[in-house]
Amino acid sequence: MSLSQQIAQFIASGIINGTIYALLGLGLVAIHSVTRVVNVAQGEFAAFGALVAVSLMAAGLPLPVSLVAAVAAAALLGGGIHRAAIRPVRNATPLILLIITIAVHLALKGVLLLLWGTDPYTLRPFTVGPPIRVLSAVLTRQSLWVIGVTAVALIVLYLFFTKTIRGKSLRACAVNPTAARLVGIRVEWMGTLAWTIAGGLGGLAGVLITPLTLATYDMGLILGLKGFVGAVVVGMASYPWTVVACILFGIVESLGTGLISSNYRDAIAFGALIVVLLWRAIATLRVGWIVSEEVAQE
Amino acid sequence: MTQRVWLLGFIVVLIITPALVTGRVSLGIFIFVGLFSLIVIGLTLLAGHAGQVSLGQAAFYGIGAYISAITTLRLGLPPVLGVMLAVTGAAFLAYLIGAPIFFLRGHFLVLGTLGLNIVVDVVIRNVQGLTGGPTGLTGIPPLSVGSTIIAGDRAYYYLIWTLVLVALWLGRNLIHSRIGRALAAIRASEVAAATLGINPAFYKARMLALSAAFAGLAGALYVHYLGFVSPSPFAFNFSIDLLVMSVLGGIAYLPGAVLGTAVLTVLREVLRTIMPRLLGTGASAEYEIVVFGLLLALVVVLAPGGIWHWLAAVLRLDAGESPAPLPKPLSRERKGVGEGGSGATLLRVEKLQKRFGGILAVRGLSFEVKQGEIYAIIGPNGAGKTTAFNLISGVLRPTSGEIVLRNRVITHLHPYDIAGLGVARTFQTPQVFSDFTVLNNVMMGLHRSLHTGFLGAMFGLGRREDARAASEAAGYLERVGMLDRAMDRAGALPFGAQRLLELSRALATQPTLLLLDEPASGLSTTERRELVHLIRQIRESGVTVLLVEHDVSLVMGLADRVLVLNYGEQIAEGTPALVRADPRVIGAYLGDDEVAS
Repeated sequence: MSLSQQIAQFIASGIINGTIYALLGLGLVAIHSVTRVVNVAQGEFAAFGALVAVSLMAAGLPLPVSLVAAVAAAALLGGGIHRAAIRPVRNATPLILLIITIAVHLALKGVLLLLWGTDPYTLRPFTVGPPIRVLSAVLTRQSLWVIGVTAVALIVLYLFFTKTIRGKSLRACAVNPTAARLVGIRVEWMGTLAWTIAGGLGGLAGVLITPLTLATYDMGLILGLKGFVGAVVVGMASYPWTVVACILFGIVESLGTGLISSNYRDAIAFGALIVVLLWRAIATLRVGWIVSEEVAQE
Repeated sequence: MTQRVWLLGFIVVLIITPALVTGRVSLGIFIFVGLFSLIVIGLTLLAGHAGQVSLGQAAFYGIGAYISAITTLRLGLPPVLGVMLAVTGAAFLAYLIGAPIFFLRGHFLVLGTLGLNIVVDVVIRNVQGLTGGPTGLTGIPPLSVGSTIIAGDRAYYYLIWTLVLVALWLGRNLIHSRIGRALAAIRASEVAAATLGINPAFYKARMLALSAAFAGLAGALYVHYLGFVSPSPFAFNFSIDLLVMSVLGGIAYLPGAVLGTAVLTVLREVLRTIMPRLLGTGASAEYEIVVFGLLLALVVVLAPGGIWHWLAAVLRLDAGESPAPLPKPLSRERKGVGEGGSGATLLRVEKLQKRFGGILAVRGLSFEVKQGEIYAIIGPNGAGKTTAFNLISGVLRPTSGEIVLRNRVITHLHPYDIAGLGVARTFQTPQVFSDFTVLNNVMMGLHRSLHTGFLGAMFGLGRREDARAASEAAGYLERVGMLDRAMDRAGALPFGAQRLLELSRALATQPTLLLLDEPASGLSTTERRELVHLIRQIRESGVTVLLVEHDVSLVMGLADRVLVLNYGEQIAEGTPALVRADPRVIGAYLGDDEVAS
């Protein structure tokens, strides 16, 4: 394979990975904007969704049913965590909420370990068939599923946020929870809804990626962190730009890994995370110390 | 008294422990509890006092370990020098990362340090030429001072536990110092702290560096004790263990750090014997995380104070402390009116604009405040008064326009820098540090005039300066007639008293310009009269006053000049008499229709 072919291949797989990161990044943004929590346990939704899908398949259910049920289960898990672990202590400091999500991450990982053990599992590709050539890159059919399903999910999300009253309420909570409460929006319920959406998106990421890689109980943390990289580039605020940033990050990671060494894959990814955080910090210094009026009146 | 007795008892137990345990393994556990305690003390200082969580302490521990191992093994440096390099190296790296990240308000450090931990782990495993890769390095020399070699379990046991006690002492001094008060103020309200001249990022970054220094020290001691190092103890999982130790012991308590470390280390040993029997051999070590995760969640939700909080109550550890005596009030000579004298322009605001999304909260605001005057901005709700104050004090940054203090452009300065130039402010809703005493609140105003730094504070050098500051603070309280409440909890004060307290805290910064945001709102008629008197007094002492107010009659009787705002636009400026007669002002307050009819 020539270098240009290789690079095309790296970019293609970067886009696929980036799409997965985007699903996780979107969940992080939804949770952070509505409940002001940085959710360390985001990746566990992906691991949970993937493993549930694997078990349902093994129980003899057809693939589409297994997938939909797994995503729904992950969404329920997200909402359930908000009701069980975040809502009861919602007056706690951000520090305590952060520690709680770390605890949730550990506990979920532990539960996954108890239920599924340390073995890696696989899921069969959604459709069978030979790989497809796009320009000079070769793509598996599952890769196209990843992109296609994510695109549909994004459109649904976009319609939800802009056309439905619930979606608009959710955005209102993100902008100003106090004002949202004054106009009669149940902010606590919106928090649960945001966590449910994040859980569903995480589960979707898990079932989409499993046929390409493998599903293990501890796959979540790294995936979630990579979603966070893209989300933080755009300040944990914008849904569409989070998707763009996550895909760009996927490409950078893939090129870096391919051209330098696969041993350094995670070092490149999280080196990028640190660089991005520092870059955001410097950008913040330029626009001002406190950006929102709400904080200024805290 | 009781505290001392318990501390002495603890030290005696530490001294005799090696004589009581036999066999290498058991003393080894005590050594590791000591090593981990050092790291957890640093993490507790960071999380409990700077309010920031790091999930990268294992990385700093590893960096310390490898710096000391590589410099002694490959460069042949004396181990003591290797330890020093390890401590400074870990602290320096932490500072490089922390100093910028803390400008992002919120909890981004946790993800940054988590990423760092993974990067460090990958690098250690892959730079085989330097670190020996996954197999690690062997033959690292033991610590030595001159020709005396420190070797053997007992030697390291005593060395490490001495260092733990020293770390506890340093941490305790730091918490009870000017630095510790600043950190507590930042935790209570970053905005209020910043307007008193405290830069939150500065203090947090130094605390992160300090916690990394403790972790680096532990790492260096670890390699010289074992003579061997490999990457596995420094992986990300250990960072989580360290956090669990800190939270379990009690995140706000330094002795809790040691307690939490001891409990978790013992618990882990117990789990390692029980788990395989319950669940079969497999990956029993992995099951620890289930227990640790649940433990962390339970402690945080049900007992956020941790074990130490409970233990201190049972043993009545705080019973021995007598309340601090009321310091003798001392009033400080004010500096002169400042260069330029009365009548020169002190503050100039030019074409100031602030846009929030689609709303122009302040549009084209321009005015000048002269040295020594009382200048008032009035206007109906939503006129942009408070936003203008936030812009002048640097809490918000303007969309366009310029703010000049004396001859210096301050438009793009941070609130703590503006405070340092002599601008103090109060808030519409008083931002007192509610868990502090009234006296300590005023002492926060004196923060910038005190000089004890991090190192000095750690060695307890700021006590005389603090005593003097307490007297000065009492002096400020006396001026507003609140000396009798100096030792009360600020949060327990009634609203009016909180306003007065905030005002005296602002005065303690020795401002040249004092910004008062609706100082009379929520006050009774008597309190208002006293306030007017007090503001006149403040002006007499040479402070220029800029106030935003709702109460028109109060302003008209007090201010030298008045500016009227309406929907972000200025509609009149001049002496109270002039403004009162302006038809547009009457229109804004009574509605345009009435003017027309």
